[in-house]
Amino acid sequence: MIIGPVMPGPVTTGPAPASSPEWRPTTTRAAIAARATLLARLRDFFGERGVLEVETPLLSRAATTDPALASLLTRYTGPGAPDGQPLYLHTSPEYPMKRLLAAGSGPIYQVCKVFRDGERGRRHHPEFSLLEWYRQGWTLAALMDEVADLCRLLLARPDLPVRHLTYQRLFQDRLGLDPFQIDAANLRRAAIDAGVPGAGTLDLTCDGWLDLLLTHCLEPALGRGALTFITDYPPSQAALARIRPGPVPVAERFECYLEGMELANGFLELTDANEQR
Amino acid sequence: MASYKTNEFKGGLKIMLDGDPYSIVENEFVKPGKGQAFNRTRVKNLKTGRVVERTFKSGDAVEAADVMETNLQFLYYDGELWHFMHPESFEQLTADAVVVGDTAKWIKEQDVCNVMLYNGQPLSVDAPNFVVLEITETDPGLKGDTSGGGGKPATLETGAVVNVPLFVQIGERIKVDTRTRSYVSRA
Repeated sequence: MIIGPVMPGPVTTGPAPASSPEWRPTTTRAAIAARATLLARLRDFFGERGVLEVETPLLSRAATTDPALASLLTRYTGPGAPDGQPLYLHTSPEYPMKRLLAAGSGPIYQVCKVFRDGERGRRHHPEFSLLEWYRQGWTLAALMDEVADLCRLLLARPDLPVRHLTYQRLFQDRLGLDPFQIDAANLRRAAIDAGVPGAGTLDLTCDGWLDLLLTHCLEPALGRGALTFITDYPPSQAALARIRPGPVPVAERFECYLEGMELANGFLELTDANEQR
Repeated sequence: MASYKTNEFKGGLKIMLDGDPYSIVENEFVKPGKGQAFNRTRVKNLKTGRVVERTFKSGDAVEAADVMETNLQFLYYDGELWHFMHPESFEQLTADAVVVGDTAKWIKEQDVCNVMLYNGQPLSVDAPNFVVLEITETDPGLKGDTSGGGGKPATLETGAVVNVPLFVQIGERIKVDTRTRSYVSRA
């Protein structure tokens, strides 16, 4: 089981141009203090619940396997690698943390910088802080409750309400389409009808169209006034989640939204090595 | 043909969309944590000036628009077309009323204008920031008024109308800021 909420961000300082006399960071004293408080509360939260803080390597010999992410590459030269060896900065601490779990660590968490190539925007940065934690033998429902508890604590909003909604329900209610049945041609039509500018000129897979509709038409309204969990994703968007069999198989994964912003993603881990391959 | 990848997108970049030249006004990177990335942009049609939204799949390429800005000297208006000349190559170019638009009311012969060229032809013409024009018509000011608490409309030799202090008279040349369309001083 994994969850990686992106924390309400550190304000990072971009590299100043060499000629610029402005050396001051763009953050404020108040923002630094708020961040320190948040980290202290977060550590208290997991400490009280018996979840151990761990630290795992940032550098790895392999790049990420997630097709939606890209790794940054660096290089080590020195003892053991006289000719230099390429090393990738992790996109999440998932794999080394799973090795700790497999070796019997019990529940663990980590707050660390992660790195993603190709991502820069208002809500994206090539480096950002991520919280990742694992609970063994838990249900997704229990994990979502814990995410909600943590958010209420960190946001100092003890009465923040929680909503649950399936991925299918979200698309049915808001766009009148079934994301599990529809094909790419009809998704394109739906995107055009929904007024996504330039939708007619895009060439996307089914999941690409669903991502387009989610980011352009659905996300801005998600989590208004309540922490909103979207559950039961299409198996094609399972990542490393387990698939729950049924008339309509779904990936046992959730995403959590607040005020139009994706905060976290969690899932029931796929532990069948054969299926993973 | 030249093209730009979405990673090159930034404000001011000139691209072709649906056969028209556009300039990128705003570019935002959008991506679900686990999913497809998009570039959500606002783009301005350089022919019509209209600003619209457009979404691209990150990684896609878009054709570059052959748009460049240059300074051309305004030579004369022949009743139908405005004639301009490049001050160094002496190449002459013409622009019609659609291209020149409102700028016609602010320029006169010899003025050097900023002209946007699309495929080598004028697409839009900007007047110099400051121009000096003669007043051809305005009410006579009140005697003794030298500071001018209020103002009055004055018609300039090009046909434009600006508000001027009461003491400025017909036949005087004044300096005008064409961006705000306002009186600056006597020239």
